[in-house]
Amino acid sequence: MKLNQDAAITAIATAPAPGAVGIIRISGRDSEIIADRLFFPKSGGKLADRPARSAVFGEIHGERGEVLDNALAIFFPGPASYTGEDTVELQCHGGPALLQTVLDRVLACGARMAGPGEFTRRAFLNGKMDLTQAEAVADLISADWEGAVKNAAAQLSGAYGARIRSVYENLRSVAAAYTAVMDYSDQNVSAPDTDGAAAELAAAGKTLCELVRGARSGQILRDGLHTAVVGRPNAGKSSVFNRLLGFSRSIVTDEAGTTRDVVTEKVCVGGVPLRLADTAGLREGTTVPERMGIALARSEVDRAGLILAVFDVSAPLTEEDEEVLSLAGENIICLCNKCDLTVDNTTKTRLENTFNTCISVSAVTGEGFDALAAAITRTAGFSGVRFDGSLVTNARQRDMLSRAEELVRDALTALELGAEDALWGCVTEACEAVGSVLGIAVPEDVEKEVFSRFCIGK
Amino acid sequence: MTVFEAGKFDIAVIGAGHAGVEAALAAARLGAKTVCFTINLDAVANMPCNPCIGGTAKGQLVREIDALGGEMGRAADACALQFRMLNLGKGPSVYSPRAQIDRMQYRAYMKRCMERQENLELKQAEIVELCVEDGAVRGVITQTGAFYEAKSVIIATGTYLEGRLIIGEWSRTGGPDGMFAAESLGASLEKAGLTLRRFKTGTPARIHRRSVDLSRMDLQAGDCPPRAFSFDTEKPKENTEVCYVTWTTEETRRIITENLHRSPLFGGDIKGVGPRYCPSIEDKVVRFPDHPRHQLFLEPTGADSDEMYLQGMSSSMPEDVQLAMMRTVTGLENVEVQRPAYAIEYLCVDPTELYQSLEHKSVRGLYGAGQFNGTSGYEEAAAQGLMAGINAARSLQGLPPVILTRSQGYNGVLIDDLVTKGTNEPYRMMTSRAEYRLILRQDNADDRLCRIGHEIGLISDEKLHRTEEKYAAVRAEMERLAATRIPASEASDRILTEAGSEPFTGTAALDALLRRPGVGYEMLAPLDGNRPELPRDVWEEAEILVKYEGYIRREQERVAKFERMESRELPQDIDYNDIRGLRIEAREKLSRLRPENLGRAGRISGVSPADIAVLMIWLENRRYSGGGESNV
Repeated sequence: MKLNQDAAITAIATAPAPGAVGIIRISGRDSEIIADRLFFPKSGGKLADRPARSAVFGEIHGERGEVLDNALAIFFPGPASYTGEDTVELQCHGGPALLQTVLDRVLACGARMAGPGEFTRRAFLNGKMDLTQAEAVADLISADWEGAVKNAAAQLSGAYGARIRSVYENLRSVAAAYTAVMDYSDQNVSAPDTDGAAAELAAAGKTLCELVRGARSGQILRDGLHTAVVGRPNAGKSSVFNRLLGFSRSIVTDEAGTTRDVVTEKVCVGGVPLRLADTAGLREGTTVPERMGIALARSEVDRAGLILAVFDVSAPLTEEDEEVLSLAGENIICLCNKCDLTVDNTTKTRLENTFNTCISVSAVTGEGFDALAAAITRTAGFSGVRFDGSLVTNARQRDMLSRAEELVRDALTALELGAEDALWGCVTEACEAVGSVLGIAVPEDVEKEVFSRFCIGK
Repeated sequence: MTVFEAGKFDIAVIGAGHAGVEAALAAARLGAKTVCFTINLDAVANMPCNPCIGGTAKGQLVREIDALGGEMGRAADACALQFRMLNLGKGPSVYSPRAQIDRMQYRAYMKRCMERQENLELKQAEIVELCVEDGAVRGVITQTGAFYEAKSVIIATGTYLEGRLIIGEWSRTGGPDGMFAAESLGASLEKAGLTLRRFKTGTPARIHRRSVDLSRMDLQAGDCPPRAFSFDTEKPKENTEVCYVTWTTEETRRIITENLHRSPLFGGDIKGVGPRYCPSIEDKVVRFPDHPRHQLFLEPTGADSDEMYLQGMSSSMPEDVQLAMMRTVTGLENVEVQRPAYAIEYLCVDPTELYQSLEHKSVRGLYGAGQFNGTSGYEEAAAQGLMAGINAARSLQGLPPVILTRSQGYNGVLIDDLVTKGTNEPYRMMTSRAEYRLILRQDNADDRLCRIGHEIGLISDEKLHRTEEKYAAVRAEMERLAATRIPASEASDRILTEAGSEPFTGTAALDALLRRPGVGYEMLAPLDGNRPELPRDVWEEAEILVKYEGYIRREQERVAKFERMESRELPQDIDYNDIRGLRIEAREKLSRLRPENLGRAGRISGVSPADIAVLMIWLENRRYSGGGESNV
């Protein structure tokens, strides 16, 4: 195969956790030449002279020849590499800061920063994986939660395909019945039984609804649930925040901050991965000017899927609390903090009347955090969710299924209206949306069913 | 044989069936000096199969042909015996006009129409050779040695091209209805580089009316009032004929089953590929052993004929078996057969060798239309003939071809399917193939296409003006319905209750009431005091647009998305072998078909969504790198 390589790209290929080995990958044209500019084998010579695919120990030098790190380098000539291009992997020691320094050096030596998903995209373009694999790998890459890994793996093996397939078959059956009666109306094709069609559509709609609802959980599994901790100064936001970190005792990762402005932390509470926004205002309330407090909290609130509103239940409510009270809604949990102190009953009653979910907690003693975990599970819609691969975690698939769900609803409305042609159109489209998840050529498939089920011909 | 110069023409049309007639008329009407050849001058626009025009999806095609300036709609209206709108009650997008036609009258109408056409010469001759020079057509030669010079040639040979008739164990070369086949042209076309293959179709028997016990059959009457095909026809003819429905019996099945070994379909003598939607009675019996009986229709063939067409019983069984099985059908016990059923095999081109304009990709000036392009049906043929005639004429005038998209008409779907996906069986138009059928309705074909027909030059100013006035009236009525609120009354309670709808209190807008299930425009008349007198087609159009507003809007969103994909052009000089990530099958298909845009690429069988994703990424990268660096 002719190697027609693109300019070299580079990025940190591992989640930069302190103390772990970090890998920097360089892929594309002249990768090994770029590597030779900064990596010097202990045994002398150049990386390019060593056998391919063998780990070479050496030093990474900075601009002025200073040693940045001792590292292993491996050269994978294309097409036998992850991306299908010539690829060099540098396995470095140390934490994020050192890795960033080495990365800067690689960039200075001629590689360009990889865009999001660019390695996978190149791998895909070079025929190293098909589209579904690429999608699943993309999921696996970001699947840093145990549940998400399990789900993505199960999807690859087709475990959740069965549920979607059953929906597809329901829809195809209705589509075929209407296709036959529309296109062969001058033949002896009996009209579809509308009650039967309604029942099949309702069943398909229900499963789609479950899959789509599950998809939200799937997305949360993959991306984490954006969570904002809000409250007036001294209500105890930061201690709640720290308690949550301690409670989970597993800071899984910092998102690599190369292109993103906001660094977030993921914690797992009640089985729900939360993406706690690491804005200075929320984390270190004492060091941040007051003026930033509300503004920052506001922007976090806007994008949050879950809001934890912290109130000091031992004190009367203040004007600043009113701001937070006004946020009351479905996705908000009220934390009556400092419940270990004397509770102000007026405050407590007011809070309980305002919010659907109120949990008494003490960030100091840890009291109530189990109840909070349970409330988070419930509010995130994770109660009773099985991580068995039937969750849709892929955005394209979710879009298709949710589109199909909407179309099935439209089809049922059309049925009520007596607009059979509109019903037929909606069902066919829904069938196509679901079929696209399964990779089925829908029109041909429906046609096949028409010919096998109906005796048609002049 | 001595070849002599017989004349110079702009365009030569080979065949005067439904494709050839429309092609020749369109070309001549657009000013091209045109000659049209037919093997038998008495068989112009012959209907060798069903004596009917229209039907599901086909009726839409005829309305579109009419809106673009073709002849078929007017001819059908002039020669109709019975009009029926199919699919009434299933929604306006699947309403399909259909009419039983007097086939002899239809032939005469079309022959006369061609004879009267300026710029058009109609000749009886068999074309035996296509002359090609430097990859472009030069003319055609007849069997008697007449060379006609032509800048463009449109092939519309129907089932005549190396036709072979089969009835049971008997077969011979021949065309339909006792005509000669065209025996030499096929070899000449292959020599010119065309890929030909063999398709098969069939037709049932014609039987004598007096031998049939019609009293034992159900009668199928036409619509009252009848509805015309052509937007020009002010008052359609009254229905003068009816059709009849009868059934096969267990005895029919027995005879077929016992004689299957004598069927060339099952014995392997027929090699051509037949249409799945048009199976023979023996096919149906074999494939659906549980069906105790199959429905048959008896259709009249003309006011001056006692022949009846036996729809549903096409067969290639030997004649004695045909007769035995027909005599087991209710009411046909004493049937007198006038023409037996037969199968016919013929040569046609692989339509993926054609551009959307229907011009052949490797022979300049050569166009194909109708069954030659792999379709089946008079209406499909006429639609292509019209486009081939238009595009051949425009090409000579230096104008770009007219290419209808899938969102503009069934005609666009038809041609796009043919040239993009190709077909492995005779292709029949179906409503299910039109993904935007909610807006491709028979009622709005004029709104969709008259303006295009006018720009082409086949639609008069008067017809365009009439169309524009009609739709202005439709819009005005829709606005009036939205603006008019009526108070609740005893009458409104009664009318809505009768329609199965809830009465309202206070006031309600007329369009809101019209959107309710079961409520129609006509039934609201007593509540709508200021209703203007409107022609039926105007208020019907307004009613459809109000009732389907939501669905139509959604469809328009899909169309917009479709058009975005269609507008992403694929450069014609792409080397698909250089694009990494494309699967081998996709590379091969894309290299061969060279789709003009991403939308078309996606419809090629063998090109997967993943391949399209690769192409999209490739196009994107190419754009980013300014088109300079193509080694993506």
